Amino acid sequence: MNGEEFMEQLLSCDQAMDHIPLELQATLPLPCAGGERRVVCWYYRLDSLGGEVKIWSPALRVIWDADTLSVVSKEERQPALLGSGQDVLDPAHRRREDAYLNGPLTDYLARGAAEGAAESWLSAAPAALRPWLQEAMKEVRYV
Amino acid sequence: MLEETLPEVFKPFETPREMPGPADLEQAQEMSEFDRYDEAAEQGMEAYSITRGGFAESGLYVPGHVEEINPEAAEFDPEMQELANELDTWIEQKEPMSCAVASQTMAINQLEHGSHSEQELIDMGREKGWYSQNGTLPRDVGKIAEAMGAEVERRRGVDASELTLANDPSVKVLANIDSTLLFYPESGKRCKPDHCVQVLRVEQTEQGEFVILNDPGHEAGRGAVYPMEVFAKAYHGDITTIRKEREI
Repeated sequence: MNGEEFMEQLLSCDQAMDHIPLELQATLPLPCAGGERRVVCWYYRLDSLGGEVKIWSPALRVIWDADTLSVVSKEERQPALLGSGQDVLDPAHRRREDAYLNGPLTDYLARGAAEGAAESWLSAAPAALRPWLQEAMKEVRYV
Repeated sequence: MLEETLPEVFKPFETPREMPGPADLEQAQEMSEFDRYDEAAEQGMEAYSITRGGFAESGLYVPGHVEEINPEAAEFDPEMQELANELDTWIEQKEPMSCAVASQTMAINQLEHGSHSEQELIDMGREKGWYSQNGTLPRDVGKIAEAMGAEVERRRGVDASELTLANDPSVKVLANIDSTLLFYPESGKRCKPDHCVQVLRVEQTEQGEFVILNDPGHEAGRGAVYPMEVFAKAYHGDITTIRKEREI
């Protein structure tokens, strides 16, 4: 399974239906360090209903078992408005996402290795979310 | 002969029966109006009028809207009658994450011709754990309607072509969609549904296929009209159908 397919499954698996509110968007999965194959995702609100895209800090952090697609741990946060999320509309944003999914994440899923995954993952996140994620990354052991 | 052009009810009775009373005459008049409507419909008369949507320079898609339902269509065509009912029951969601609750409120009010407030359903959702400040879990969409006596089915992987089931007046269809892609369909964003809307109808016309929604997410969401190719980019196949099961 490549990173793209894994992301699709992570968004629509049974446990996602049971644990992740419909209204939240997901960051791409970041591989965690350690022997077990785990990934972490943060879930956040992206509001486009007025036509202007606004982004909130994540309301949820979930660590997933990458093999069974089951929730290992789940923590709620208090979301706050971060600013514009207009850059998610930019084709360059999608290209960065695809590069991460088809590069480092695919490598991690295939071989357990993920060279440069964290930098590639962070650069694929919406710009307004990056400083928040950079801080939050300190709380997890990522590869 | 004049007699041959008259509706059946005004022709001489072949067998003895009671003389037509006011109710019969009213029915006859209704029948005649129906015949006129039926004939007009066959000739391609629009059952309702819509404004067309379009793209703004920013790439934002501004939807069209159902402007008016032909009064005769609303009177004689059960589907148009229900469309009018659905438009009348549109509400704007009260809380930023309450789209699924608002959509269930509309569906319940349509099925029972009721006037439940969204707050009533929000309170029930909070109490039962089906709604929180972060919204509704996908597995819980429809649970409030279910608790109120409706028959609810959550379905995944439903092709957009199957959404014509919303044209059946007895079925209410809620669809999970990516709100950013509905507004910016050309953006190329990865589709991840984050909003719940009601699909009212899918229509095939000479201009193409389009979808009519009751979108609780914004003030212009009542009877919002999208071309199918725009809607399909935001749609991922997750729907909830709500039917009247017993007296609710």
